[in-house]
Amino acid sequence: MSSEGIASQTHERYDWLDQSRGLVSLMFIFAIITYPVSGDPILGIDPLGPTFLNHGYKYFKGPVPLITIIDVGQQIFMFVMGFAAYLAFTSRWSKKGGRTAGLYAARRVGLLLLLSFAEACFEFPGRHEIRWNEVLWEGTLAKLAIGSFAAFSCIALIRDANRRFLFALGVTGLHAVLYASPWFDHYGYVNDSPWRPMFPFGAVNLAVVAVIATCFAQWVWTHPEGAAAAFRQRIAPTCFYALGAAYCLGWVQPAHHHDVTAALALFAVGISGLMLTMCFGFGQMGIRFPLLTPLGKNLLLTFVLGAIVVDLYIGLYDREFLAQRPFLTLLLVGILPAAILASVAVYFERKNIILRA
Amino acid sequence: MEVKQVNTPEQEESVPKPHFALSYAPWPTRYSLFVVCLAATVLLLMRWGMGARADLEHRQKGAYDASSLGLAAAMSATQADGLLPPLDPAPGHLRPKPGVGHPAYLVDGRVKSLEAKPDAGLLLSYLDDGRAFTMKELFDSCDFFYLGYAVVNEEEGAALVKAYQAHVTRGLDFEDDLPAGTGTLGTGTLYRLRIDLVERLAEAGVRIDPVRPPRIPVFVERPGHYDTPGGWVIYLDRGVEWLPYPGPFPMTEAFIQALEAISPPPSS
Repeated sequence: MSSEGIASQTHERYDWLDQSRGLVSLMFIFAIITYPVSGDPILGIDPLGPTFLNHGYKYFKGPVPLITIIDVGQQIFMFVMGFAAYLAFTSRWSKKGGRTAGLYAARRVGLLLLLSFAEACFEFPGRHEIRWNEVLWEGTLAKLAIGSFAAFSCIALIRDANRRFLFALGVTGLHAVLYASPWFDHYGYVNDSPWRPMFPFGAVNLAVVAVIATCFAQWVWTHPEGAAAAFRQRIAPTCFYALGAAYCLGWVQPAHHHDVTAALALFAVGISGLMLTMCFGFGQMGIRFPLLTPLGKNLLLTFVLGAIVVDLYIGLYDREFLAQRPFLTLLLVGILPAAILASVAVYFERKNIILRA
Repeated sequence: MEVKQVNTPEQEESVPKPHFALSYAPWPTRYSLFVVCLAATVLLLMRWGMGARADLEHRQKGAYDASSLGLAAAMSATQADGLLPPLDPAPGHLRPKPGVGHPAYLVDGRVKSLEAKPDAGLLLSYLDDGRAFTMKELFDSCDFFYLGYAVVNEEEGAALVKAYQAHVTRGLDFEDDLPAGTGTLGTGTLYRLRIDLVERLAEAGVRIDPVRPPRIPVFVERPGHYDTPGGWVIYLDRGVEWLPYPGPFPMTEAFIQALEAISPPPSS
């Protein structure tokens, strides 16, 4: 990782984009806080905290998964990364050449894979093995790496955003067909078909989300009438179509968090696009939430720090102790870790340090 | 000493600069038509795929239920000195004797409330991720034949059927091992299923291949539940295997028909 100040930037920062990244960061913080206190309804252990800000599979595991907004969080995260990566990649290419852009892309993908490996090593003492499938394609960081790689590659290879969008839709369609077929094992509820090979369904559709994000970005940054026209004419309508398609597909092939079925991917695209539209609109109206920008600027840092520290911190408390003291739990678990992470992000922003590859 | 030449501003201007132009293009109508055609094609292909997958998932669920059944029987045996439940002495039911074993067996002691509900069914918990599920009427399942005794081939299976019919006719129970002309692993006795049966027989001098010990079926699924003919077989080692029907023992035509004759399917 390297620190990057204003002077060495290849493109200006857009506050509304940082605000949207901050929103994603906040969602992530809530998700990692509620995860360790999910409880188990079947065993009679009640969850703590707001259940709508936790993964649905922590409450129900069945053939048709329970999906919350947090189950789409990974995909929204990928979308925002892809959207921002477009600007960073193309500005480097146009100002410094393809080699610089390629190195930048390699650095980002490599860092994510390195973090994925580091996470596996961190879990090694307890598990006694490094799960290479998680390091390379199943783990969250690995999927983000694959998505980033797909985004950068597709920008370079398919420069027409419309065609790139069609390509992404085609891949999602193929994903839906393969997922429906009897050829491959699924991650989900019935995960015991040893005679069926695994397929990286989750990684593929996460990559699709990243590629679609680059299309959105290109529409926004290259529209001849400006970003507002792009959001009005292209982004918003596409999002509503995506949400409609997700709704319809959800009846046929339910959304699934780990395998990222087409319904979930399209839902993520729709929600992400509308979130960007909202943040852009807020920016136009002068509405901003001060805390979101520092969180958004150091999105990857928040992600890594939160993933490592929050779980360890919450594990220090006895569950019964927390369950019997909801107000104290709100302070110790609901607010304190989030406040600390936000403080770290604000500190880094004040020092003008943006940590990324 | 080497002097490095530096370009003058004029020379810099003549050097081609990196160029990467991405532009905005309006959305052609034909692309919308393509998307519609793509969606229709995908939905058609999904329809085909889901049809093909439905039986697979049905079978997978059957495997899931079968492995739970085997696990439940094994856990019940831990409370009975390793013996699996005896056969139901009531005629026409190849199933474990009702009421044997704790019906609400708790693997995870955190679930205290079910102790007071003996008819709550079996609750098992996978301790690695805290998942748990309940199974209703597990030991009353009409989907499986419970053999009760160790048989590993057609001859022993036929002997079991004969011994079962004789016992039921005389109103006897199945608490003990059964004398038989063709017994378990070539002995003269049909031994009741127990967790350590193979080890005990080996100690008693029965010849057992240590490399490939015999697989002793415990539950045999009644064929006909799936589009693909066959069923799941749960073995004493708690392994679960899909066998086609007709196929190898215990899913041979003769043995299944004999089991069907003594334990007919419930009338719908």
